[in-house]
Amino acid sequence: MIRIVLQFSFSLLAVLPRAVAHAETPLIAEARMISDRRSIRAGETFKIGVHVRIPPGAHMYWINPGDGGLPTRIQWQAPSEFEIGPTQWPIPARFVEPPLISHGYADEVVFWATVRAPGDFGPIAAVRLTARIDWLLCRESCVPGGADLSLVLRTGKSEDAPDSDRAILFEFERRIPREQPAWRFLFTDHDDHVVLYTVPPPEWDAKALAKLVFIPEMDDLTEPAAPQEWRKDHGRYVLRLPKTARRHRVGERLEGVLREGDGHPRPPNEQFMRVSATHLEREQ
Amino acid sequence: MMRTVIGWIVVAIGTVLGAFAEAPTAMVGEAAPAFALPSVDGRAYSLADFRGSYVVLEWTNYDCPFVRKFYNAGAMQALQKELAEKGIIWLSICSSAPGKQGHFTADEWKKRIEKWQVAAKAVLLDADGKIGRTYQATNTPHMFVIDPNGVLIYAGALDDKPSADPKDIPEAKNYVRATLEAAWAGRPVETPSTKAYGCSVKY
Repeated sequence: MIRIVLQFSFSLLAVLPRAVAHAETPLIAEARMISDRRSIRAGETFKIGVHVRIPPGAHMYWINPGDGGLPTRIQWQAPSEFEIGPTQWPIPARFVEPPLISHGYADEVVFWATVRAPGDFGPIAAVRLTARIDWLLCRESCVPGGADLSLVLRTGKSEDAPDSDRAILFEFERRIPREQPAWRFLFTDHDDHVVLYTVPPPEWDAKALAKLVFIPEMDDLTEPAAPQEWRKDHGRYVLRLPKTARRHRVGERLEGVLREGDGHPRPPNEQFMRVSATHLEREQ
Repeated sequence: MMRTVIGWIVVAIGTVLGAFAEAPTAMVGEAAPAFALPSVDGRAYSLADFRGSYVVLEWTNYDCPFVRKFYNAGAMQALQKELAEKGIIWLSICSSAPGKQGHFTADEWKKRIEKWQVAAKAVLLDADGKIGRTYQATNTPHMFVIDPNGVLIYAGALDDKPSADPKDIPEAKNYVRATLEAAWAGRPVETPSTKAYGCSVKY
């Protein structure tokens, strides 16, 4: 496993904030590439991931970074016969710095993807998979950075990676928001706001719903720091989200996540789910 | 009776004051909110002083890598000079709170401004963040362009390449220049609002 952590040199001057908390730790994240296999069998499906350790008090960003920040970007590469699935983004936390709110990750995170190995490796005894990750790391100050990572897996029989790598992958597999069959979401798209409608399972009353915040996947669609208040209307719950000044239109579906609280620091057993709302007018 | 009348007067005054107390927010197409702020060299500046001129506001934090991207490359100063030659007023505003990144002593400001040869008309201090919040400045850099009638005609990023890499500057479309060129020529501003990118303002 090769690990190279790059930091843009021009920004290193900005790393050390004056007289602030966490000033003792430099604003540098460490990244390594992991897999749930050390050796792979032809045709099998396995996982690859980038495990990032984030220094205390700092965060990097989700696909919709919110106010300020930049989305983290990952590019995976493997020999052409391998099929790499889409990057899986764990549930982001909300970082509240009034009047701003951003979305992302603190402490540690694993971005991962599923890979399908080709049906036949031929004479090849090992394969190299690579990942390029670029991030913006912010605490009191911000430092852009990134890493070129790679991982060599033997071919032949399927063998598990060390438990520590499998455990951290498993942990962040559980942190991927999934659609919940008991919940249904609809939306309407207006000039200066978006409305999300839901009929939750019966145990979710107004009080329980009040703990949930919606974060759209689309950057710059809604105001990240606008208060969110669920209102009951004709048997369903309604959330009105003001748009940013750009007044972007929602596409076919309003995609995003619904999460309990800000998630920072991470509470035990927090609840979250993926939202993929269809347009109210196309409701069947 | 008298008490009721006084009561109503108090309510009425309260309502009027309340209406004024509610902070205006900056909206593209509407009057840019007024402000008066001290500069790093101790002078007082007011937006109203520049009525009749185009005014560019640049929210800044000299330790933010996205701000340094433009200053280290000399691109921000070049734009400041280019616009100053056309009589356009450039005011940089720093809303970093005391103790936060980008908040400097007067001496430190002087050194930094000299080192980078900053060519803004003035660098203004908004340490309590009041004007930053009024303008809803979220990032550094975050740019605003005000026309000679005091109307806000652009709010958002300096350019269309959200990165901290100075190599992206030559290829990027500069929204501030594009706004001013369009306004100058009497054309509508093509992109009056964009999402600013950079460091969050250190309120």
